[in-house]
Amino acid sequence: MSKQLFGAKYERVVKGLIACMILFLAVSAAEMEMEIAPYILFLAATAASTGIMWQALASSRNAECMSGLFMLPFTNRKMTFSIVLSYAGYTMVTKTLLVLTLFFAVCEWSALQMAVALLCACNGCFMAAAWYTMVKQRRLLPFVILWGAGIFVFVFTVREIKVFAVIVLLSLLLSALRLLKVDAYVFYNPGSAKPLIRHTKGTGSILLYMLRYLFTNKNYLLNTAGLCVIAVVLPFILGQVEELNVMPLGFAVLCLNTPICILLSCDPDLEQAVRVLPGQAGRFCIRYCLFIFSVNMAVSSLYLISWHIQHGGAGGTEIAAALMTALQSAVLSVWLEWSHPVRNWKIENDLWNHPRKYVVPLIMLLAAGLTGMRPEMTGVMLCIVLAECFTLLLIIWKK
Amino acid sequence: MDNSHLLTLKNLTVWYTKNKSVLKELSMKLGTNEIVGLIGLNGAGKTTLIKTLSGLLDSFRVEDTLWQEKPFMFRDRDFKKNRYVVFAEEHSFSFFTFREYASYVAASYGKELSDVDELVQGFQFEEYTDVLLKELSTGNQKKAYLITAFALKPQLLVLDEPVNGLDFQSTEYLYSRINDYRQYGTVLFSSHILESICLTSDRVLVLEEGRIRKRFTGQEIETDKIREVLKE
Repeated sequence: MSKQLFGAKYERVVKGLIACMILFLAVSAAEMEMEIAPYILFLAATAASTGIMWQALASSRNAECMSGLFMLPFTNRKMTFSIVLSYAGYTMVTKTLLVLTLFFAVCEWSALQMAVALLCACNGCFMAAAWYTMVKQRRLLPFVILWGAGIFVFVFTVREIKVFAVIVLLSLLLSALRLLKVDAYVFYNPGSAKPLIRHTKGTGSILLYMLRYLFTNKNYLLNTAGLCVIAVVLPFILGQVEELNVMPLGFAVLCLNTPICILLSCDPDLEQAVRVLPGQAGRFCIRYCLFIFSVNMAVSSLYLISWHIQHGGAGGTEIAAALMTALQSAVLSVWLEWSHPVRNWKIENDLWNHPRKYVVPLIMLLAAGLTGMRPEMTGVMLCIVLAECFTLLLIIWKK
Repeated sequence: MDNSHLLTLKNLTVWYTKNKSVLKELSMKLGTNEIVGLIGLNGAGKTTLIKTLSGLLDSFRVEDTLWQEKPFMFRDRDFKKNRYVVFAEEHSFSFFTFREYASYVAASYGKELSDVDELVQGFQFEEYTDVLLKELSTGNQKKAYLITAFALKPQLLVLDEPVNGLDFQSTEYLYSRINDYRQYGTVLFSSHILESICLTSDRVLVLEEGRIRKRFTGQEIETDKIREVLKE
């Protein structure tokens, strides 16, 4: 199982460690320094590990990969801990360590603080596994909520690191005790037979296809809902900055809806079909682009309305900036998906946390920074987006 | 069967990793309105050949590719519009129903689908035409793509192990549709099941280690003869 997660020669362990080293050296060389309270480090380590471990355990694709494993005769406890340790190792080495490296690079920490952060990350993984087994028994749900709230309260209230470390160790012990008792099959999700729902009014519209895709994947829907909340709240924060025009920054942040921008990478069968059918550069990509643009624009509209209510002054230029950002983000995302889809991922988490997902948001943030500092650049950016659209349409039409 | 060639490939070499070719200098010709069966052991290169024809692979070298005696490349739009592929493991457009998928494919090819109701009935698929593909079993998903393929009637129909996952009645119906397809175009299909090849094909190509090792035509197409070649 660990070979499936880390590669046949465990090459992902080496890659993960090299990535951490590069990140640490790059941030150190840039002399970026910040004051961060230890509880933020502990909270980040716990939350990142818990979230990523939960995603890995709940992934339906991962469950498919495990069906062969569950067919074999196994010792229950050994199997449970093999699964948890494999996923925990994967989460720690390939994901959490990167987060911790960033924290370690931007701020000076004592050895004890670093050790407790690692302990928090381990606890996050084991806690997620224990919670995963408890959530499946509905009556244990209140305990999960209590446990989670307890950890959250302790992170913020306990200032003595050694006492906090003991609390984390106790949580780890509690997770281990829970896992000792569970049936390994709790980690296998066989799916359930649902009554077949008929859709008689569809006409083969890609926009409808994508809406179904968005509404079926709860993670993606939550991400979009989260962005809507941020869109309403963001003007409160950004509005306080007076020297710079920070409004474009908000548009760029709101284009961070990365899950909907990896449709082809997520679904290799769809990617294959789209490449095999004729004329998909036009038929599929343009509609995909419109879909991302619509979602981006819907969120940006909330931001514009919220900004206007709080600060006023959201006029034609601001609407043009919102349109430009939403369109630019959509064009770049679709172009990247078409020309450089993420392939050869082992489990879904690889995709959700793949650096390529963040290329477009990074470009958008840089562009927003530029237009914020030099407002006359908005016109230039608009021309660039229109030129991109025109060139792409020309390529599609010629094909 | 017409004497002119629909598709000609000369010395096609395909690889996934350099210095390890999956197809080696493979040459083949497909006539118009014929059924060609492709058989070979696992790893012989059947799916790789189909993926190359589909334009999915970049890593290949070919001396000559002709479509109706004119040069073409696998990703040319005109070629794509004249062929349709059903893969062995296909789960594409899973958030469409069969009817939506078929309508999307028809629009992509700029064609009207014909005989859909007859095909739906033949494959015993009536219950599932308005259900999302992702909610169907593997066999029913396969039927959705096969019905679309036969309703589209492209000049070249490429089927990768079409029998896999189908029940007995649908398999029998598939054989009859393949046999009837001569009036519309050419079928190139791969299979591990000798019976499916022998019951339908005008020609059989035996693929071994990336090359066409033996060809059978007409009366030569017998399960025992092909089995002997595969055993050697």
